[in-house]
Amino acid sequence: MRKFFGQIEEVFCALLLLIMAVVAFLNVCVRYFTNYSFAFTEEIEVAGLVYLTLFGAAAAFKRGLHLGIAFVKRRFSPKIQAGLTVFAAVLSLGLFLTIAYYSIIQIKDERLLGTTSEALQIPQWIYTMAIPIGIFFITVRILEYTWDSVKEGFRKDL
Amino acid sequence: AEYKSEYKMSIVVGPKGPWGEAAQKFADLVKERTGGRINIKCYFAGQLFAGKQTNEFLLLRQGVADFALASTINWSPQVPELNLFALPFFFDNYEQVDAVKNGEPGRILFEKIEEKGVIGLAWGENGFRELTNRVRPVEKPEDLAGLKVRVVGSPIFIDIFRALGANPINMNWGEAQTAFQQGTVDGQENPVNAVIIPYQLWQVHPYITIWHYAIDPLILGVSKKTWEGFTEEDRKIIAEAAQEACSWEVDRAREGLTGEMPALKILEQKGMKVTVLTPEQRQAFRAKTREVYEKWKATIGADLVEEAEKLLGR
Amino acid sequence: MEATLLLFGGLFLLLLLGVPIAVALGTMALLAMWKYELGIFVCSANFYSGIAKYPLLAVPFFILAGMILERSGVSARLVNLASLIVGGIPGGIAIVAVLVCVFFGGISGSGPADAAAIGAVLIPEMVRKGYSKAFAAAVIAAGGSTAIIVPPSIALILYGVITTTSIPALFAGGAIPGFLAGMSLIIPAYLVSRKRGYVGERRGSLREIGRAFREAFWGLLAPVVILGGIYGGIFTATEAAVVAVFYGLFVGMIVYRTLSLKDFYEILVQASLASAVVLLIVTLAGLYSWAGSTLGVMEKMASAILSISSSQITALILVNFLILIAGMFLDAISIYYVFLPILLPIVAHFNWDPLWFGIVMTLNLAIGQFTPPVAVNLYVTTNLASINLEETSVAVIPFVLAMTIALILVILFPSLSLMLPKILNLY
Ligand code: NA
Ligand code: NA
Repeated sequence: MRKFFGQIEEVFCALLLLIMAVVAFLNVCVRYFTNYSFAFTEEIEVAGLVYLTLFGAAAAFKRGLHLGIAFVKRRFSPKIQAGLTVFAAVLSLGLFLTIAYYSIIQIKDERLLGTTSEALQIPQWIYTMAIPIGIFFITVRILEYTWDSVKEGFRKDL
Repeated sequence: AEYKSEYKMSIVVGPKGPWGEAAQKFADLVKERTGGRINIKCYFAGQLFAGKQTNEFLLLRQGVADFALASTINWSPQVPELNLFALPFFFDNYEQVDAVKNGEPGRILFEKIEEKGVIGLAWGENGFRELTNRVRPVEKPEDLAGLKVRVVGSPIFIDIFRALGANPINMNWGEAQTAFQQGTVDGQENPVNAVIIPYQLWQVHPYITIWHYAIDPLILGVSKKTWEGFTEEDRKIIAEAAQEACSWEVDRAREGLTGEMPALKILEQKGMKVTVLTPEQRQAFRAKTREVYEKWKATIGADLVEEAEKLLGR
Repeated sequence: MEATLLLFGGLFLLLLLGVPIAVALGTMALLAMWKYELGIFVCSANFYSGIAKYPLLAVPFFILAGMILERSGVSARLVNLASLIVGGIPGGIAIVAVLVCVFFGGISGSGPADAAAIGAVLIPEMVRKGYSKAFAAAVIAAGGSTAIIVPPSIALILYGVITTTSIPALFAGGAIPGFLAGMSLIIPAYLVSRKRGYVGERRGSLREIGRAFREAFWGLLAPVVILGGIYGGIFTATEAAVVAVFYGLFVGMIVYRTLSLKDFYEILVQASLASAVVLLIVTLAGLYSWAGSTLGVMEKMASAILSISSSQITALILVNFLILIAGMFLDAISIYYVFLPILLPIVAHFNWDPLWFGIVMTLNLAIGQFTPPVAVNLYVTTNLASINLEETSVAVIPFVLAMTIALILVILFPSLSLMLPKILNLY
C-alpha cells in the first residue's frame, strides 16, 4: 500500500501518456484514411498534457530530477547544503501554493460564470482542477524529498 | 477613491489596423479630456493574458485588466448570449447589425455582461466573416463538401461548418498560415479589412466568397471594480470617448465594404476570384444550417433571439 | 532599472544558491507580478495556458519515441554498423560515436536523450579500449548536442512556438547546419585520438557490413518515416512524433522482440518525468518572460544592446556572445524564454531572417549543452563514465572550438539554413 502511494503519480503518468499516444495515433490514422479530423481530441490531448506535467513534476521532485546548478552549492559544508536545500524547498512551496491559491479563485469564477471549454463544451473548471490537484502531490513530494536529503546531510556532518 | 497611476487596457490584436488604433485613440482621448487624471496604457497582442484569448473576460472581471476592446467571440465562453452574432447567416447587412446593437438586444447583452462584472461602454466591429479557399469558388453548400477549413476556436463556428459538409479544423493562426502554404488546410474564414487584406491571403487562396455568414462585433468594456472608483464626471468623459473611438472604428472596419464594395476590387486586382452571394444563394446556406440555428437559439436564449428577429422583420 | 535588477539579479542569485531553474524563474516572476501590480491573479491561468499548447504535445511524444527506439536496441545496431564501416581509422570509436549521435539525433529531439542513448552503449566500450573517461564523456556530450539542431528537435519546436515561426520550416532549416556541426566534431575527435594513440578497430568485410546493415535497417528507416512524413505533407510535427512512438513500438516489440511490456511501462514513466521537467520550465520561464515583457524590461535591454553599437556585425557578435555565456549557466529552454523577448526586437531592427536566427541561436545553445559548469549533456555522460563534470573542462575545449567554427559558417552563409526550407517550399 505504501509502495503504491510512493509511485501513484508514476502509475498515473504512464497510463495517461499511453492513452494520449493512442488517441493521437488514432486521430492521425482517421485523418489520413478518411480526410476527417476530430476537433475535440486536440482539447483532450492538451488537457492531458497539463495533468502529465503536474503529476510528472511531482514525481520528479520526489526523485530530485529538476535541473539546477549544483557547482556552487557543492562547495559548502553538508550543514549549509542542507540549509540551502530547505531554502529551495521553501521557495518551491511558496511558488506552487500561490499558484494553487489563485487557481482555486479561477475555478470558482469559472463555475460561477458557467465557462465552458471551446471544443467539447464541458465545464472549464474540470481542466483547471489539474492545478490544485497536481500541486497537492507536488507539495507532498517536496516535503518528502527535503526531509530525506536534510536527514542524510546531517548524518554526513557527524 | 484614489486613482491608479496607470490603467491597463487589453487588446487581442496588434496596434495597427482599425481595432488596435481605436483602442489607442480611446486611451488618448481619455487622457486628454481628464487632464491626465486617467492614464490608460494599451497592452496589445494579448500581452495581458499571455496566450489564452478566452481568459480575457476573467481578467477584466477580476480587475487585472481595467479596460478591453474585445471581440464577442472571445467573451462567449463566459457570456453565451454573445453567440447571437455568430448565428449562421443571421444578419444580411450592416443596417440590421446596427439595429440589433443599438436596440433592445444590445441593451440586454450589456446587462448580461454587467451582471458578470464588466460594464459595456460602446460597440465596435471587426467585420462580417467571409470565406477564402484554394480549391474552388464556393457558391452553394455542396461546394464546401470535404474542404478543410480553419475556423476560429468557437464551438458554434465548428457546428456551422460541419453542417455545411466541410471539415472544420481549429488551429492557432500561426500554425494555420503554414498549413495554408503547404495546402494541408484548404480554407479559412475572417473579415476582409481586418485579416484577408493585411495578411495578403490571395497569395495562398485564389477564391473568396462574400457570404456574411457571421459578424464579429467588438465591445469596449471596463471592469466594474475599476468603474466604481471613478467620479461621476470622469465616467461621463470615458463613456463619451468610448462612443467616439468606437464609431470611428466601425467606419474604418466597413471602409470599402458598403454599397458597391470597392474593397473587393483590390482583391480582384490581386488575382482573387470574388463570389458575392445573391440573397437566393444565401438562402440555401441558411436552410442547410437550420439545425445549428435551432440548437444555438436555446443556448443564447430564445427570448433574446426572438427580440432580435423582431427588429430584422422576421 | 529597479525592475531589471530585480528580475535578472534575483534570478542569478537564486540559480547560484542551487534553487531548481524552474522554481527560480517562477519565484522571480511572481515577485515581479506582485510588486509591480501586474495582477498576480493571472498566475494560475498563465501557468495553465503556458502548457496547454498543441505543438508542445510533440515534447512527450518525441521523448517517448527516442527512449523506445533506444531501448529496443536500435542505437546498439547503428553503432555496430558504423564501426564496421569507419571504425578502422585512428580514434575509430570516437568517430563512430559522433556519426551515430548525428544519425540518432534524427530520431531524438533532445541532446541529453541522444547522449544517453549513444553514451550507454559506447562510453563503457571506449573506456575498455583505453580512451580517457573525460575524452569519452566529452565527445559523446558534444555529439549528442547535435540532436537539438538535426530535426526533429524539441528546442526548434519551442523556438517555433515562441516566435510563431513554422516548425516544419525550422526542422528543414536545421538539417544542413546539424550535419555540418556533426562533421566539425569529427576533426578534433580524429586529431586528439591520433595524438594520444587511440587506435582504430578492425574494418568489417562487405559481407559483415551487409549483415549489420540488414540488422540496423529498421533503425535507419526511423528518420525517414519521421521526416518524410512531415515533408511529404502527410502529418504535422506533433503527429510525426506520435507516429514515431508507434513505429518504435513496432520495431521493439514485433521486429526485434527486445522490448517487454515491463520495459515499456518503465519507459512510459521515464518519458513522462523527463517531459514534465521540460514543460515545467517551459511554463514558468514563460511566466518570467511575460512579466519581464509586460514591465518593459526586455525592451529596455534590447535598446541597451542596440545603443552599444548600430553596426550589424557588432550586434551579431554581441548577441552570439550573450547566448554563449547564457548557455554556460542555463538550459536551452530557459534561454529561449528569457532572452528571445530581448533578442527579437534586435532581429527585427536589423531585418534578420527569423528562421536563420532560430538556427543560429539553437546551434549556439547546442554548444552550451556541453560547456561546463552547466551542461545537461555532460551531466549524462559524466554520470555514465562515473567522473566529475569538472574533470571534462579541458577535454571539451577542442569540441567547443570546432563547433564554434561551424556556428560561424552558419552565421556567415544564411543559405546553409534557408536553402532546404525554400527548396521544400516551406518558407
Ligand atoms: Na534531433
Ligand atoms: Na553549458
